[in-house]
Amino acid sequence: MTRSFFLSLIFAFACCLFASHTAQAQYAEGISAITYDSSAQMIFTYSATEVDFNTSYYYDAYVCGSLYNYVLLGMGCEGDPNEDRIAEVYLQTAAQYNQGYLLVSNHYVEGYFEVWEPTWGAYGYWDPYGYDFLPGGSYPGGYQFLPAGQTVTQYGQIYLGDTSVWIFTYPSLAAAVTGVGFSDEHPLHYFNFQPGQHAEPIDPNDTDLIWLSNGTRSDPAAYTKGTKPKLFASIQFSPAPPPNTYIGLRIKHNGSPVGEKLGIAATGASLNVRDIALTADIENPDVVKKGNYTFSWEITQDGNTWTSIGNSGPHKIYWTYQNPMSPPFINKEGTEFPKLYDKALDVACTAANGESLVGTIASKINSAVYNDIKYSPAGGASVNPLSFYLIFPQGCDCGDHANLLRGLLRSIGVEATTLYLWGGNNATGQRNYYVFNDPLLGAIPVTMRVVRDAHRDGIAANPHFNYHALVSAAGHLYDPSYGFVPDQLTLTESLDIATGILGVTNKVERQVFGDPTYGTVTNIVCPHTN
Amino acid sequence: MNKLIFKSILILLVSCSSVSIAQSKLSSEEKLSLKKIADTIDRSILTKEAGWRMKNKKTLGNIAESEWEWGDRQISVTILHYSSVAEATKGLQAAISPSMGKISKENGLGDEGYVWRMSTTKGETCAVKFRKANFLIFISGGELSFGKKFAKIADDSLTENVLQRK
Repeated sequence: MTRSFFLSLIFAFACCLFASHTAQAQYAEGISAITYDSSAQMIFTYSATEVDFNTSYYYDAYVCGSLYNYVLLGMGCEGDPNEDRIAEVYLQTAAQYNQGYLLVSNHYVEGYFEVWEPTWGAYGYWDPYGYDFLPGGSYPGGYQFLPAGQTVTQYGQIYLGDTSVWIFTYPSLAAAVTGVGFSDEHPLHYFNFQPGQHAEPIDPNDTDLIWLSNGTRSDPAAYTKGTKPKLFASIQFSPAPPPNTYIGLRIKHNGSPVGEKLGIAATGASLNVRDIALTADIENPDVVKKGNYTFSWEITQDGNTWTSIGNSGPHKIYWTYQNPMSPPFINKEGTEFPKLYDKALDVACTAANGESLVGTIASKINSAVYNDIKYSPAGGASVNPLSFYLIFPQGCDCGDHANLLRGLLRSIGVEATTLYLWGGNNATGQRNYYVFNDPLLGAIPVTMRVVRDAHRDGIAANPHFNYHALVSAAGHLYDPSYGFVPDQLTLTESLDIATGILGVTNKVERQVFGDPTYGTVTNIVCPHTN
Repeated sequence: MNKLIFKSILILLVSCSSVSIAQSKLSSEEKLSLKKIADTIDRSILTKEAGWRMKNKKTLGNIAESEWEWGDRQISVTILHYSSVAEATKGLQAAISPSMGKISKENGLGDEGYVWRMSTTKGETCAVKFRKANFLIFISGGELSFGKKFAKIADDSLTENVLQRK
């Protein structure tokens, strides 16, 4: 009964800095506390054993504190000389950065024990609150037992147990993210690059910080949709961290962690951290997108406490449908333009923003080309078709339109083919020219008449063509000059060279423009005047 | 027969002379940046075509362009600078196979010149295209008479400021 009663008593260890306790019957509390004053570079410790009022009737508190940093730095033991129910030991030592300091406190109560030898010959003692029965406790040793029936008051310490606390002297770090780069992105080039403002290849060696906090650089990156980008960053410390400083970096987007890297040795005032992998999507992984993203950057030293070191961005990222195809652009003359251009992704990803279906993507970019670039059938220019977005305000020919659409689609990974079409014999490739008598200009050699509505840019309905160009992609045909998806080129008129009959719908379909003069020219005149 | 031989020799000499001029231009390419050429042509237009106002001016790689307006008339002058006469000739060939409309040779314009015309629901539209050495000049928009005037100014300006340098 006595034991069970004693076992019901409470012994508590507390390891908090400013522990408080409430008075309870038969209550003893052990305290270990350690603090690090980074400005004074000092470690301060506090060890205490405190007993409650009832306990203090029989016992006095006693404590020993030991401070370690791999080796014992200092130790002290104190009882309760003031009889105020608490024994305290204070220690302090000069601290070094990035060191671990351990305080171990040994807690005791001191008491005077009634010790006797019972008449039946066994030894006995009286420990009113039974601290010896608690885990780690013991009864005092070394006392002398008296003959049976005799008692004497014996002083002794009862060990209650240890508390300990550990602290690491992390330096105070003042840091800021000053630059961010992207790894393994699609190799973007500026189309309208201005020497002195930025380089034409945006990140040629996969080492460029394409966003700088000083505002001098904010370049886009491109990834295939669903990719989790890998970043690298420049962190500036002021002052430089002390030796053996290790940090972790964390990136948040919209308040949620999206990537982190731990165990980074912070050496020097400028730290470049590579391979910070994003582990969460920052965008819907299923859609083509042009997005702007702001990242919040945080550092930690202990892995638990994160401190902001600023934001980066907005980072413009183009999410392509699949990996861009090379060369993205080709012109009517067959000149290839192998670079992947920011302008192409900007146009394509803006037009197809948020779309996941390839047919819808192609259709929207087809409409964008129609809306953005005027149709001028004056013939092309031997330039990159993307040029029409920046110059040639008069617009471009259908061949350029088609090659522009083809290039935009291939830039975002959608396979596309330009198809050139004439009236003629598809088997031989022979184009058959006849005469359309324009009321204003007179005889014009043409090969076909095509069903079309009147064009926004002044071209009459159902025009007569020398040739026309379309784009085959995603199982459809697209006509960017007219901004719709015809799925097939319907002729209302072409010439059967053998019979001289107009009105057939034979067409030559080629993926290469070839010789513009190739064909048979006749004097056969069509009946139309517009 | 003698006349034919004489004529052939004359044509050959003229051809050689033309190539020689073009090549000499290439050798002084460093001094004749595209921007300077464009500026020269623009100044000539401003001087010789009163009333026209430059609306816009830009360059992109080997292309320089200026846009002009006078009332509701608009004309753009595009200069493409190629690395060789052969490249420029190829570029011109690409520009004279229109999908619609009528293109005809314009004698006396540059080393090789063409005029493209087309009827639209808004009236006639036209473009003037010519090669001078390793430059292509495209004049687009407006009425053909204005297009030809601008082309002549550009042609003369190139002759005076590019081809006479060596």
